[in-house]
Amino acid sequence: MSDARTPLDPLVAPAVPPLELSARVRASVAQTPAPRSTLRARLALALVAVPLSILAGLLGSCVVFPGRPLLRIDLGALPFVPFAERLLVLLLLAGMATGVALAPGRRGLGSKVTLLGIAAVAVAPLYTLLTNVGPIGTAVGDAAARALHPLGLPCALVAFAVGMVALGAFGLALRRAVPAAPVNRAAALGGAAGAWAGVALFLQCPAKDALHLLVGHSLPVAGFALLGAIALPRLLRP
Amino acid sequence: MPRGLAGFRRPKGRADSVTAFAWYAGCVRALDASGGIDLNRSSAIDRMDADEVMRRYAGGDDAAFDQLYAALSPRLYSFCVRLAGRNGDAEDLFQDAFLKLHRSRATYESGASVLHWAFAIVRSTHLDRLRRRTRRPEKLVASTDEVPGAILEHAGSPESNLHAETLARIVEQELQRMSERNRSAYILLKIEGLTAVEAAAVLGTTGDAVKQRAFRAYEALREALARAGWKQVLRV
Repeated sequence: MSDARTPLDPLVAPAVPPLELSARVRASVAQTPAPRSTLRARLALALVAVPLSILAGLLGSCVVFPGRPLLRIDLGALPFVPFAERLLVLLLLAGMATGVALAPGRRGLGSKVTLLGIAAVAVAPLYTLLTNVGPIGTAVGDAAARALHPLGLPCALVAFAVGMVALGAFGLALRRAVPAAPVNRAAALGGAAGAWAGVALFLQCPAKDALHLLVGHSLPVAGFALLGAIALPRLLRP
Repeated sequence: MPRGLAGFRRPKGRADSVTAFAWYAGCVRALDASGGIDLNRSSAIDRMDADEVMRRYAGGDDAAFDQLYAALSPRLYSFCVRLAGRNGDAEDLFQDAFLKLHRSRATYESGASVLHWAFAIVRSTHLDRLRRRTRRPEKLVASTDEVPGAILEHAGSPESNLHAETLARIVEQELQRMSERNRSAYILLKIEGLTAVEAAAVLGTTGDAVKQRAFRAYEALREALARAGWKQVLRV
């Protein structure tokens, strides 16, 4: 026996699954149906669901809260450039959070955990910064805002409805597709859903009051990251 | 002789723990390569082929399963054995993981490494099983006295070296004793030969965290070897 071979004998046994185990695996696989829809198709559907969820949330709020306009009452009077800029930045924020949360990543195991963490944690503070610091509005909006709930509870409900639809769509798109870091991924999906809910509120609510914006707008946005981290991981794991 | 074995020699006599450990890890890596299709190094079916087989399987080609099973099962089974330790557990884990791989096959991202994806599924399944066990504790057979079967169960000829067997036993027992995080990082990095970035993707953490966990595992193994009488040589 060669010198090189001798010490290796105890370890030489290749770790091959026993035949009986292989037969069991083959039998169980043969009996188990597997979904055929590809991940890309599911992700595309989820992305289509986002604008629909915003539209449905806004329309629904008009029905549930009579007198609430579909879009902010001062939309026509708002200075176009500041409004468009802010809306664009909010859309970018939501889009980037969604991209990070849904991206399959280079290795097919999702974005890096640091990016997922940023998407989960940073959305709410950035949203707050963009909407609460120097909120844009007009006298028409201010007059309408006086009639709004001081804590913005109806706004929180609208955010909840929009965010839940988006979160559900994201969760179903990635169902059984996240074998690594499901909690981080779920939190990032929650962050993204919250960001879209925030966009809906920005389009509809003319409020400039800090308390209203914090409780009715920012808090639900922040809550979605937490909700995602708690509710989604079981759905996402293979 | 499988490729890569020529470089390994059993340390003579009571080697220091660092040498022993390096030798052991090298042997295991190289020997795993001899047990079936090695996806990290080029082999009968190379990694690209395995990824292509998985792409076909993900696309609904059921006939590709046998090829996929042949390509993945040796590495996944070894991984299961090292993760779960006890033979029965490892087999259940292997079966569960393959079933999950089958059920989520449509979510495989074309172009990604099927081996890393499959490792992640195995690890996720293992964590699920640990969670379930925590919720519903069952009577466990002491695992620390048992050497994971896949590595030693067919231990070679009678003259097979007791020395190596003891070493393997110490390492495997210590692996089962350490935390799941450290163990999985160590296995992926030191035994399966993944890079820190690849292991981080599989484990869902950062490269630095993987290195840290693997280092802790390495230190635990070194201490275990030292306790067992392997002399430790301080390297300056």
